Amino acid sequence: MLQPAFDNMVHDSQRMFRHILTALAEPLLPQDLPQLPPALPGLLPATAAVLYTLIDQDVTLWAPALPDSTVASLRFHCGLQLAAQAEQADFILLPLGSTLPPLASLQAGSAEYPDRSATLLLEVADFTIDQVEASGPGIAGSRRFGAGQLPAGFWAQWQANHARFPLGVDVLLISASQLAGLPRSTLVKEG
Amino acid sequence: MDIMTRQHWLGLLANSPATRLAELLQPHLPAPTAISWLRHAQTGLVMLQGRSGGSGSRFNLGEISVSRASCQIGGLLGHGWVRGSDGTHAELIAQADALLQDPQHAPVLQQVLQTLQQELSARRAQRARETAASKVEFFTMVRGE
Repeated sequence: MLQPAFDNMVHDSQRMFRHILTALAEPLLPQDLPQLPPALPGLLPATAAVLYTLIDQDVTLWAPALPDSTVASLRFHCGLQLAAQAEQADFILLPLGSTLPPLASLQAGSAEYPDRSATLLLEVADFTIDQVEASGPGIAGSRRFGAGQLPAGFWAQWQANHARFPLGVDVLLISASQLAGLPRSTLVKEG
Repeated sequence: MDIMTRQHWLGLLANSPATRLAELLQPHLPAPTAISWLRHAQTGLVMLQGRSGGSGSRFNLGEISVSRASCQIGGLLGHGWVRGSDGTHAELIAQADALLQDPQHAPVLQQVLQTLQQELSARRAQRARETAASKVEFFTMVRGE
């Protein structure tokens, strides 16, 4: 059974795109997302909004295993193309509780085209705990941040990803109704 | 009465005037709350391709506006695509398409289709007559030599 997407596909997805840009411009500052579309089976409501906004027929998505109805809905609304391997995908979707593929194995771009890199869409429980201290472009001084139910070893892998700058992957952390951006330029200290 | 296939009825619905379609379908359409709109009517452009002489290489003839809509009624998926920018026409086709796949609604709607088919054939015959009446025969006078 297919799920309806945004009420107004054009304006709602543009509004959502603005939220994603703001999230990446102000790293690790959770953004509230109003007016979400109905949730897709197996995913959080905010994840559906992010997918409808970012996915089209020109990019590929990799995800561990999605329910058939979710794949069918995404194919109907945005022409989803699934990648066979995470290493080749433009977007990596990790639903809550998935294991993290090694960040170093994902597309990181090249020196000439650092933009040809993968973006990780990572579902988390909430942004209420306090785990790390972040600094870098878009953060005045430093910012405390934490996300519930992050995949094991995420922050350790993030250090290596940040060290590869300007190459590397970017991450969007998604909770039920909030979104936080983590671009590769952000330096994170655990504890 | 022959039962129309989905391909046939989608073509027929798209080739019938929207006002006539609304008139005939109105008594059979479900309550708006029973319809889940997956895609409300939207209008875009589609590139038409042609082949010179019908068999030459492909070329882009031009763009036409096309409206489309998709809905779900009781688990059945209906799609409507129609030439032009009339979104309500596309939404009517989508609803009729979903209902026509439902064994409960199909028999009454097949009768609506028969009416539409007769009207379409009549319009086409009329058009053909008008065209035939304006036919001009060209011939060359042969000089008597």
